Amino acid sequence: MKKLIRILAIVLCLLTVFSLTVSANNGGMENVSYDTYTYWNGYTNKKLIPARPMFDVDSVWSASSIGVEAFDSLKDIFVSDNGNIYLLDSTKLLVLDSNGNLKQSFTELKDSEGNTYNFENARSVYVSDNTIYISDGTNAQVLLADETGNVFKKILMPASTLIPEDLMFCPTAVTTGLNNDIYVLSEGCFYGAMLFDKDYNFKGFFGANTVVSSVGDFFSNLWDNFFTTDEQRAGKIQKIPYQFTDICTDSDGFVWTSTGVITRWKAQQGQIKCYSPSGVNILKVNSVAKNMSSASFDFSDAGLASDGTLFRVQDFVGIDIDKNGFIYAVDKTYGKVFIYDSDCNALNIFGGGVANGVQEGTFTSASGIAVDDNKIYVIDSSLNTVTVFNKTEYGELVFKADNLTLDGDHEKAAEYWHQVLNMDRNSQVAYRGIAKSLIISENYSEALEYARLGNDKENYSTAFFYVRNEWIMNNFAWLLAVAVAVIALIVALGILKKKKGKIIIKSEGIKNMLIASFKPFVSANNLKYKHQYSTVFGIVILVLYYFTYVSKTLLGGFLHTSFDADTFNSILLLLGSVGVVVLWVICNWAMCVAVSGKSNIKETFAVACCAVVPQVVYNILFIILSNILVIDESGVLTIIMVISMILSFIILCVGTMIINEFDFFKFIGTGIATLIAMAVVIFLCFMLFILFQQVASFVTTVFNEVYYR
Amino acid sequence: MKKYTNKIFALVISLAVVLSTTGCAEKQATADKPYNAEADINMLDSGLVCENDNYTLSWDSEVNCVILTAKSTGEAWSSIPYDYYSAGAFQGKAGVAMQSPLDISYYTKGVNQIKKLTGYMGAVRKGRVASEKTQNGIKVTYYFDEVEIAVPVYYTLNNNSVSVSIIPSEIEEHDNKICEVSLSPYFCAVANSADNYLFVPSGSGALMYTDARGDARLYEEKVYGADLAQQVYEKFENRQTVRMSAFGAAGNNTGMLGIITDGAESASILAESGNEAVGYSNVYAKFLVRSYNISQVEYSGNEKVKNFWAFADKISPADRYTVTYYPLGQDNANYSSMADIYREYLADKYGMTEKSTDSLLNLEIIGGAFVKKFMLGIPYYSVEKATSIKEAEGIIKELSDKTSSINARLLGFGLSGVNAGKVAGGYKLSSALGNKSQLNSLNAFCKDKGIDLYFDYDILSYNDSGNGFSKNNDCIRTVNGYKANQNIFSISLRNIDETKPQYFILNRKGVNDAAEKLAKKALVDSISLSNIGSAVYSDFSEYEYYNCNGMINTVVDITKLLKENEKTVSFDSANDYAAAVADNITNAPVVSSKDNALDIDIPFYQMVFKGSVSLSNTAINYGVDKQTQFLKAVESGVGLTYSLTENHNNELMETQMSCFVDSLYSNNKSSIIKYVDDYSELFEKVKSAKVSEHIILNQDVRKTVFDNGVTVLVNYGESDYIADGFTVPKCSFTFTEGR
Repeated sequence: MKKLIRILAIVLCLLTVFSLTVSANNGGMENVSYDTYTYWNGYTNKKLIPARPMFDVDSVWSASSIGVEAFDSLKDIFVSDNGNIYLLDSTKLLVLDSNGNLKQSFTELKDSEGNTYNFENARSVYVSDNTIYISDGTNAQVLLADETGNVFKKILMPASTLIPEDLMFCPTAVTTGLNNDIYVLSEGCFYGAMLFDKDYNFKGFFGANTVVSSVGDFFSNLWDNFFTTDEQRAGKIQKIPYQFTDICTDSDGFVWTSTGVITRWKAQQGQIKCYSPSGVNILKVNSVAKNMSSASFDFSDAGLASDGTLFRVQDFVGIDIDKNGFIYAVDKTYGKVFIYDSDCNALNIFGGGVANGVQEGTFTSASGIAVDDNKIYVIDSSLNTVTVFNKTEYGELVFKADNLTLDGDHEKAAEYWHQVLNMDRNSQVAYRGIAKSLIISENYSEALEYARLGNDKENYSTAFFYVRNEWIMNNFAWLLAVAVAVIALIVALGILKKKKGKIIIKSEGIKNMLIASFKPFVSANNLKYKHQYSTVFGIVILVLYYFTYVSKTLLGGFLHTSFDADTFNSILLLLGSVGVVVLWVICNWAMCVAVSGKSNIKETFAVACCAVVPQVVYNILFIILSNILVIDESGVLTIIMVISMILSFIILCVGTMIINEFDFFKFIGTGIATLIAMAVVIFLCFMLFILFQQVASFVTTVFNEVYYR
Repeated sequence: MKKYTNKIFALVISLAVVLSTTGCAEKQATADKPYNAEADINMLDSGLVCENDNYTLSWDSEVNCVILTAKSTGEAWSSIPYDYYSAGAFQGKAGVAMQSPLDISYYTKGVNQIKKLTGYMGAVRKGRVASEKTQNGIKVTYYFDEVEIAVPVYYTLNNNSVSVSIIPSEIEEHDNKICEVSLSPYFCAVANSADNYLFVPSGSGALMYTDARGDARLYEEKVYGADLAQQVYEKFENRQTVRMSAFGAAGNNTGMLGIITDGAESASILAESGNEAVGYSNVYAKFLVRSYNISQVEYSGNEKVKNFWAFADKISPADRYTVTYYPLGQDNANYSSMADIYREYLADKYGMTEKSTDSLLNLEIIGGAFVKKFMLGIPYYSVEKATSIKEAEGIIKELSDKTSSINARLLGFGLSGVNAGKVAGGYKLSSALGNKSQLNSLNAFCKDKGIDLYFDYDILSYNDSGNGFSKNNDCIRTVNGYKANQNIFSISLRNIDETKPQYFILNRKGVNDAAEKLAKKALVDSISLSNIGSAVYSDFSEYEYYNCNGMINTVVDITKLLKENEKTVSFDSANDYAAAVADNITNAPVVSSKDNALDIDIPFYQMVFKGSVSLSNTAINYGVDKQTQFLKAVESGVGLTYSLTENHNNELMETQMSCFVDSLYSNNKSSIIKYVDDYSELFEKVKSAKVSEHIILNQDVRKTVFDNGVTVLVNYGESDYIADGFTVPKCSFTFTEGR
């Protein structure tokens, strides 16, 4: 009874610790009606961190502030090379200066034959070389007009065998690239952009999103091929690539695209792409990994929020690239503006409104974005406003510093990065930029500090390599002396022990379990036939295993671990370490007994614990070595891990064979059966858990129904 | 056996009787008034109702309008805009809108919907309006037969104002239950014109120009912020709370200031400007007379959420809801005069002091945050140090060499740092940040230097039991009877951040007890109270506290109690009632919510409280642009505020609190010194002055005149401002000692 009370007390204490909760009195940038943040890389998931705004609302333009008749529905905005802002509404096309003053206004365009073209179905505007391109949507044409509004060319649906018969020509966006090629996005066209040369000849389709198939899709297709009729196959929903939502070109003539909602049920990826002239996506992500294709990178906020009926998924509807190659994208669902650099580091994310924005910088239906030197223009097709964001002092510094870093001028960049940090201690790119510059100036110890603060393993590894080597060089003499002394001490102790017959460990059981790693056969025989094992010591080994397993993450070297307090779950780690061993013991004993094995559960447990000893040693070595080795040397850790795994397997194999009096093949058989049994048990536990969850959910629902009614 | 059975039976019966009679007593005492369909409709004839030395109050029974006339000048104001009323052409949409002296909303049981009904459509048009004289005014009852609701409205003439009131307990209803009442929507209105404006108290205050451009521009905001007993599932916007219960309209030599003098805790302020169909722009108050709550219930399996509406069983317990209207004539139809009148009102009602001196430098030093740590894989929470007491002393000492005019506030030095933990941070100093002797040493240093040192306590939000407060029993309840959990919202998706723990709100009795304990246990004599002075909440476990009722009294009583115990009290982002009784206000708002409907921000809050209560704005280093934030302080003559920490690390960063973005002292030191140097000369002249006039010279330039004659011109623009011999450099300021 006393024991029970003690256990209860411990459980209660633990529960108190686990249930301790906090809540934040969140501060904020006081003048802003929305949050600004960035992502930190290097954690299990990308982590949202508040950031100082790089842009601030300068003004909000409306029809009345511009001095024109009310807008019907704003469609698009474009900033030309000469700084003119083209604002397309379904009733007019306006040309404004950067302060929102009206320079020119068109209610229709005319061609030389006197035909007029209004903007009712127009979808986008683009200007290049004094030519205005209007994507005339359902009128199936792209109008090319000069600056006075005279239409001199119409691009219509080309006659080409490359174009599928069922494709409708409904231009939604236009841009021009290298060699004055014209790229046209057409609604419903999943083959990429339609590419025309400077003489308006159709050259083919350019770039396209691809369908990502899962293993499930493969099997589903296989099934369909064998077991379904043509009619059934025709009736199935086909996976087709998602069409681009916007297109633009950068100052080098490369074509950039944005893609909107890809899936509503899971995190998205590949929303932004940059295409080479041959139509290959060349945008690489260097923020979370080296040279990862942007097709595998999620540019939106991680996580999904439900609006009650559907998941509210971020929807990139507009993209623009500034002259320095920084990427700007606008999300319609949440009304957010995302700024990335060309390495796909998220610099700043701001805006909001979630389709209900009534405050400055928030949106009801953000539908287009354009940038010039210092400003971002975002149109809201529901509020019929243009929100002008001005670059802040902080934004100016970040752009300068990041540009210099991307250009390789790290030393000069460091000056700006320091200023950035002075204004925002949460800037990961700043820490990384400074660390890089310090490495170049060979100030490795300081570089270590900044790399660590910036969660930057690459630069940390480089700096650590030099710091470590220098330390070893400086301390080689006494390190050698200590090593010799330790070896001498061990040898001396060994000799002394032999001569004097001193016994350090008295328990034969413990001794036998410890020698299993060196003499698995001897140990297993002693275990079986001399009963030399200790269940208590086995438990100690398991406890040690758990703590070293956890400590691997908590105390392991920065370069070889990725600890994230938000996702770190000690319960899962307990199940993944001790839980697996215990499950093995139960299942293996049951399987062995079923095939006339001679072991009892205590022996099976002891063997399993002996097999865990190499893992404990590996964990301890990992903790020590991961604090010494750099990333390039992580192979050492892998080798130790493999050795420990092999050792564990041998101990398990030999031990199980001997205690059950099995041959090797019988061990393999029972081993496989054990693994299957473990899978079944896990599955059943999982099912029970789900069942319990559903019952709980059902009870809660019933309770809520009764309570709320 | 039989003996026992009889005894148990008798006991059960007795208990049942006792319980049922208790329930009946309570029910009877608070029962809502039934609708009387047979009530007599007596109408008072048009004409003079009452008068005093300054004004006459008249009634026009034709259009149900009260008219206030100044005896000395003959100027008149009425519940229908006077020029419209005197023109007498009540037609179209304008006619309907103007003849609605009140609007109501109500719900029908079983229907998850709140419906609206204007006074004109529901009562006036059908002639269902009764009126009778009262001692200093008139009582007008509007019968909404269609929905069986009757609302009596009292118009009372005061010395220099007229009050419009409703008494919730006098409202009659039947099956349909009244929810909200909008009072005299056009008493505070001006004609649409670019020269006229509405004043709304969003954040520091804002103006809405009333010219007709595009669609009508709408503004609505709950006074003192949302009721914390409401369940919130998503937070899409960062809004500046309405901290003042005043609103106004001015232009064309006439205007009106409205002050919600009773029941501001339950009110919202609404404004509509530039409505072409009506031709007038108006601002008014709406009162919540019956609380309701929309709960989201998630159904398992299909990811669907269903909304459930829950309505309070009883009407508001408030004695009355009143808006008092102060007429503004040709001499004072501007927002500067509105601030003067409002200041006088607060002085009368709460005894706001007449004189106070601000500090040039106001330091908010953050101790630490509660972060998750692990010991051998077992998680625990502890305070991560941002600044220790010793380090705080170092910061204050260093800056005291630059200026002697300093006010310091230690924030987040309790047992849970800046996070909610035990009530009032356990009334203790976190051992991770220092010990009591270090705090005493800092306190002694500050006293010696004449520095006010405030120690911040949160006696409102908590998430851990202790010191006699239970997180299950002492927290407020929602309309549904659930614990009113407070959530942290994701900064990206704006839904509840499940990774961040919830916290709770201490009920009224708990708050009073917490304040009593604080009076005895406070570590220093100057107490800063965060949250309690800036929040209002109901507690639906006690009828007395429905509809946020009595919140003002709670805060005023707490302050009185602390002052009686010789404590100095500072409130953070204080609502007007808290500000009026405080010795110091920190984090005064400097911007509005920046709604698209609002045209320009004004420092109305500073105009009201500057010179009466020691005041400081939100921290300069929290502003997007420090120079702009600095100029905001200069514009209203208040001290400079910085929020500082000595340390920064990734653990603090991962708390996702923006207060750690730019709070490092070493980063801010140079800017503090620069701004102190730039501002000290002017500040010395205005530190005790009141703002007597504030003028918007153009989009970027503001002129502030203080009551001692000092005039400050602030230029927020990117080009120099030159006028009347003055040159105000871009992004800078200049001042003179004459007007």
